[in-house]
Amino acid sequence: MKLTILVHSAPYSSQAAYSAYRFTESALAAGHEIQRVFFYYDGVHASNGLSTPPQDEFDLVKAWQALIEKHELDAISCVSSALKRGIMDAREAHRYEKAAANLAEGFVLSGLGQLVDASLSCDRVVSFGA
Amino acid sequence: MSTLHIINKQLPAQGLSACLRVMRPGDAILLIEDGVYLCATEPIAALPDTVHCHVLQEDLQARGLALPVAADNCQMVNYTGFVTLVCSHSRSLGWC
Amino acid sequence: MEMTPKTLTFIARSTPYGSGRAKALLDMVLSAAVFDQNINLLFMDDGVWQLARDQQPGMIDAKDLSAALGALPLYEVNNVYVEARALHERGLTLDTLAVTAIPCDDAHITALIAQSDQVFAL
Repeated sequence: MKLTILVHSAPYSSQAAYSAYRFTESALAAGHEIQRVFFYYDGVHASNGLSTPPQDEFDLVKAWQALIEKHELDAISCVSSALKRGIMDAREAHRYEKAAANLAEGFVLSGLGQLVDASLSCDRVVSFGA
Repeated sequence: MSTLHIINKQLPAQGLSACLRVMRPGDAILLIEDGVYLCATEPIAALPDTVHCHVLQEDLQARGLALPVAADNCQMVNYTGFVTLVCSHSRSLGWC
Repeated sequence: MEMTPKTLTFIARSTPYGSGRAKALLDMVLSAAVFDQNINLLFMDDGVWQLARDQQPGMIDAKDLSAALGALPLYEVNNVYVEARALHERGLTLDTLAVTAIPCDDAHITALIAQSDQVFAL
């Protein structure tokens, strides 16, 4: 089946961010197709490339990046949620004259239309959030 | 036509009761994250037999809990089972 | 290729200003509205507080959510429902809401969910 994953809670604030990762990993292992992973609201913190957990804690940003790379996942961070929370790619940083860009590699900034579009073309949507 | 209702926190006043009120025969509940604590409390034991209740094993064991012996209508699933449940219902609804 | 419209149901269950969730859900609804699908918006539980009249969010430098809800017909989102029980429990009544909404009982809500291709709650 084609699945869309919606994540709207932040890593380290809510287990839901981790649950979404584990679910996606398990769905891929079971042979399902991930249409898109959409990070929305506080969920966009999973795409902050500057996230630096202590070494003995699970690094969710890194884990997502590895999964995205391995399965060539379409991982989108909602651009309006991300900008508000200080997460941006080089293009947005330039546009808003910010000193740095920090979107983690593998993630793409785009609009909510990408969530709707994926929801309309997949078989199931699963939401994760607190 | 069935719905998988995913409960991820222990909110008997809102989450569970709202969910139970709008369930249809054939729908199922999946308890994940802090929702698994509902296993240890009254509301789950009081579920009607027609309600299929699943509990995510990883989240249950992480919290030092086990399925109550009396809960005949509760079943444990792992993440693979979670994926299967999502696919075997027409839609999922997270009562976050 | 012309596709059969799908039904997307959005369930608003959060208070309007205590978190960003209410606005986040409304943004989802407005985004979905431009896709020409069947959109249902249902206010349940604490979400019915979003419909209270006389909100003055300027007092806390917040955007007026109820005013944004008033714009829903412009986006052709006309299927706006409210959980009658939730209104009653909070001492709200249909005729004192900031927007027009169709009252729903449990059976009606169950049917709305069952008719939906996807459901989003926030």
